[in-house]
Amino acid sequence: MPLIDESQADPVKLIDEEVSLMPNNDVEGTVTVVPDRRDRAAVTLSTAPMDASEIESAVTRLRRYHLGDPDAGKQCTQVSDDLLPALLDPYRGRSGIRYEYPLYLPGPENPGESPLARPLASFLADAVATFAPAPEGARMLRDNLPRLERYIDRKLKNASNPVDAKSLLAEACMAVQDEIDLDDSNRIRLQQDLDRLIEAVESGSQFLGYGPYVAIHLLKLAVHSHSYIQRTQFVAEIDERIRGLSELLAVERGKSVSSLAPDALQQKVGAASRYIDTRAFSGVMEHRAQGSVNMSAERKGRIEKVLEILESYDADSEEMQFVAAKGSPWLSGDHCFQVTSSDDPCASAKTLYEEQADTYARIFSACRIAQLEIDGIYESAVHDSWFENFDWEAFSAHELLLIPTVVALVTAEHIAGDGMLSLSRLLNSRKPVQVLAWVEAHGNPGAGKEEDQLQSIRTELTYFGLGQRQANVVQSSAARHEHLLNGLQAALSNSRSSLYLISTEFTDGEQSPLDPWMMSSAAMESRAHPFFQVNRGSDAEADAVSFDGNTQPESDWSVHMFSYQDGQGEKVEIELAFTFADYCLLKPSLKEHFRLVPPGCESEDLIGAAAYLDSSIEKPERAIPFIWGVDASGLLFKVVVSRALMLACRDRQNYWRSLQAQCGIRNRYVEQARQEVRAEERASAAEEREKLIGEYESELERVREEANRDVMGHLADVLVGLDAATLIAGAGTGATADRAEAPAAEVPDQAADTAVEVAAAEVAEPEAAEEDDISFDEPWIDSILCTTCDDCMTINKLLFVYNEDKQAYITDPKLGTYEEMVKAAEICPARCIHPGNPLDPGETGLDELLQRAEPYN
Amino acid sequence: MFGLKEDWSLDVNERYFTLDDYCGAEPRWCSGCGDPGILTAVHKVCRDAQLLPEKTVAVSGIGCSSRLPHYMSTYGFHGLHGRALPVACGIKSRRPDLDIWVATGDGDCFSIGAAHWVHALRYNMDMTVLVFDNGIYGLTKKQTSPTTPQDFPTNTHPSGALLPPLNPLTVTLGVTNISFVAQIVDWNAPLLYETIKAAHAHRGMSFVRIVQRCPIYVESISKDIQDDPGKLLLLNHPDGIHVPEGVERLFENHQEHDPSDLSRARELVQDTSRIPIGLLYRNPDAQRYDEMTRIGMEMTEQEKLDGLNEALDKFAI
Ligand code: SF4
Ligand code: SF4
Repeated sequence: MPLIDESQADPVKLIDEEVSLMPNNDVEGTVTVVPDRRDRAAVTLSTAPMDASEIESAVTRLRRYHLGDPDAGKQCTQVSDDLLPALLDPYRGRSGIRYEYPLYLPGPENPGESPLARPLASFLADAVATFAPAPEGARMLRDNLPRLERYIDRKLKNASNPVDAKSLLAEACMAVQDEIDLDDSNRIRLQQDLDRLIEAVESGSQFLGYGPYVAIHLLKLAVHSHSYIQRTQFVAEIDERIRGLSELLAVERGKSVSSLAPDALQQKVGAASRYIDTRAFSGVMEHRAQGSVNMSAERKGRIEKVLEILESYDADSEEMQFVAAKGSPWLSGDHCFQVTSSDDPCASAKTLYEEQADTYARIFSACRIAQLEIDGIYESAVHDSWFENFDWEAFSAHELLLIPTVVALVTAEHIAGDGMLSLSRLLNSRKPVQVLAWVEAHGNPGAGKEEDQLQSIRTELTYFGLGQRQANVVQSSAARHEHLLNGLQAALSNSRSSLYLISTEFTDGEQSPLDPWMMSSAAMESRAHPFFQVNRGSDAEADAVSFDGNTQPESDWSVHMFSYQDGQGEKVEIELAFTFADYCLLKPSLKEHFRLVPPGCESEDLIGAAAYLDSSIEKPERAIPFIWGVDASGLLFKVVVSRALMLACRDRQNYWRSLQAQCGIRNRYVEQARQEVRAEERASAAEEREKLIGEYESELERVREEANRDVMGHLADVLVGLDAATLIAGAGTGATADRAEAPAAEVPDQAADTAVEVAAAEVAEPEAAEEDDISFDEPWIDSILCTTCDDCMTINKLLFVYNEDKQAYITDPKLGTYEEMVKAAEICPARCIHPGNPLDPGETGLDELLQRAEPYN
Repeated sequence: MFGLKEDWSLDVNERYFTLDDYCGAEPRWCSGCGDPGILTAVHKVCRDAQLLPEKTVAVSGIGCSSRLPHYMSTYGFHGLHGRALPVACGIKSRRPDLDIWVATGDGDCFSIGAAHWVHALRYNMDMTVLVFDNGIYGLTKKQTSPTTPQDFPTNTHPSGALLPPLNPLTVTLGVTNISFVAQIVDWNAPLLYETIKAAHAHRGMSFVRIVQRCPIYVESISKDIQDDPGKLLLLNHPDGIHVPEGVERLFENHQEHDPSDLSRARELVQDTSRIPIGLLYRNPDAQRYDEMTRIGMEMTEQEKLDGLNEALDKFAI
């Protein structure tokens, strides 16, 4: 709250009369800065005085609640709707959080662009850099990119479909101009940059917000990137085959008697036929079949049939086909893809694929036959039966990519229940059909609708998928577009059936305290929906298992620092794990599994949920697990978790650990192998060290012996009366002979050095010359050094202008004379104007001006 | 955490200010004066921090430097000679929500305002104080100021200033409870901006002495320094002023200086053979008088009266 009401307060008045310094801005207008947790008080621990007996009875009540006593539950305080897991509190009530979404999707003609999709923020920054590479360039636009982002983000909140990027960006640009309401000159300046930004957006590209169908749109993107080029090439191939076969038939037609008829001749001769009397020409020709051998009727029939099939190929057929259960949201949703309804989507998807495969088998065999015919190597004895039995199993990898992708859209509950058999058949069929299953991370897909979701061990569809030994399995979240796209692309590339288990957190009817993207992130972070991926290898390759994308994959739970103020106002910093229980606190339907610990109730029996799950507790009958929660006013509470939910947490933990083991973390064999490798490394390092020590010692011994020999040799020389001066110069170095020769050797060395220098100079010279050309021709201002003194502008207002940072630059040297340029350089107090060379060689007094310019260039 | 990057907040202020939003009347300093560069740096810091103009006050005393509030489109107070700091402290004590800038000069601050200077430093109220030190009284036409070099002829001492100049930084660094002391020259625009930016970001009184050119009356003083970068000593430290890329090469002499080391800072300014440039001293934990004067400001008149009555009742017979 402001200390003084702005509208009541008299602004401090300027006592100089020369100019009023009243701000231009409306003082009475409300100055709203978006509420921010950083502007609010820090999270504070809720405290209240409690005596020992009050604490004891509160703890007893909480224990009974935890163990499942409904009466005790009634006596304990329920959690309020605004209570969030402590680690998520900073994101409460934010007007804007920069997620990975909205995404920028390139135009359909650039499907191979990498990455396939980019977060809006990085796309905008990159787009600005294309026309304003310097960090200070397009300053106003850069400052306001977050506004553009926020506008686009709000427009696309929960949107079902991607939208055209250019038009939405143009709309956002207009909105931002209106919002910031600049003066005319700045408005024009900003508009120029906004126009360049819009220009930088590729036509046909789209923005995709985080909406209920986002996973389907990403799948469409992955499929398109996968098959677009193949399909384009295939259309070209078909055209080529049609041309080849048509030529064969044309040759055949040319052999017939009818080809000698005047009309046929006229057609053959073409435009030149007006110079020829084709009737007379036909008359003089011998009317009998031409050529040595006619095409057999069988071959001709085959070619005509193949041609007919190839010509009937629809190049614009759909890339994908979707099947969903009757009554499912995908059938009625406001989205841009066609969905077929079915009682049993997996079975229908399989059938649909088989039908597609049959259709494409005709086209592919026609294409292959066409090539054999064009090459003249079709052998009926071999090929007839091959093509009669040609089906999808004989398709090449390239051909498999051309078949429209068939996708079954299902819920996890459906495939864990009634749809399980069909799913199993589909995954075992080896047909590359895709199953996109939506998972509710907190629920148990195997539990019936009416059953308590936490009561039994959760049905893990990842394991079900793994059991179908040929299928790819990808467990991911639409909230992590990169992870999901990588998983989709990897699965699509190996032409197997694939099961995608996706969490989006767009749940019917349930109001969540955070938006779906954040909820989905929390699901991943809490191990409720960990990332996991298995891509089946070929017969010769092992399956590729990936655990990428999980936070802190080596630990049971992801752990982060959290700070709050205690009752004495002291800052306390603790490590906080984000457990499955924390995630469940976000689910209104699970509120009954939590009760508040009364403020001030301190007891050793209250144990953090992660610690409770981690160790074997000494006195399990006393232990009461809790997590931390923060309400909207910033008060921090301990929140007791029900036993049922703690058992579910343990189940999640076990599942997580089994996935870790699959991926080599906490895996007994991997650990054993690691230890063996370490032991081997240690042994070989020790061996190497021993060897080096041995070598070092023998070398030392050898040097010692040599030195002794030298000393003895010199001593002997002295004793036999050799030149003492030589002895002194070379004593102990053994270099006497070398030194004596050195002067003689110097000459060639010097010569060589000189040669090298000359060569270097020769190489360097053109560069230097080039540099000269660049540095001194163009006049320029080192704008960053400009001190905004206006002096150059008094010389020529058109030539020297300020940029957005009020630092001078040269607009166009043609707008002034060289004399003005030199004068400005001389007057500039920052000495940052460099006049370069004159543009106009005819300007008067150039010699003198060039001399004056020299110190500034 | 939760898949968010460090720049996860997309909060934006409702209003956006360009450089022009902070520009007031057209500056009327002499051609070649160092003051416009300082003004531009202040405008840029305001723009980059997106300060609300109606929550910003520029306060000055008298002198060339003190024209600055006229050139700011914020609130302003062109005060009495030497009284910029007491006015600024007064504003801060009653309006702690305002962002306060003080423009003063060597005459205004170190001479007639010297007593206020010392005590304002000790009060350490949250504001940015820029001393435009050109070594002369410029506005009143070349009179000797406390920092005019000895023997330099002025209109008050035509045969040369009689006394050696005051060293304002030894005085500043000698005052109890100082919290931010930096020095810069006006002609290095990028470093000037960084220095003022750091000063503004500091909570407490940020005192920046700016060696400022006055080509009209004392051209030779600054020209000598500008022509010979060897006279400057750039202070480097990770906790110091950020030196933008390429600026370092403009200095021949560099020295590592930890701005928490007060004794070393004093040694550096004591040595007048070179002018240290950068952050000399910073103590973020120094006590702030404005945090004390704001206590009770939220009380209503009635609450204040009740409090007074309660206190005075103790003396009732
Ligand atoms: S004269 Fe130099 S310092 Fe002054 S505005 Fe022009 S370029 Fe900038
Ligand atoms: S007298 Fe000196 S300090 Fe004053 S405005 Fe002129 S140049 Fe600047």
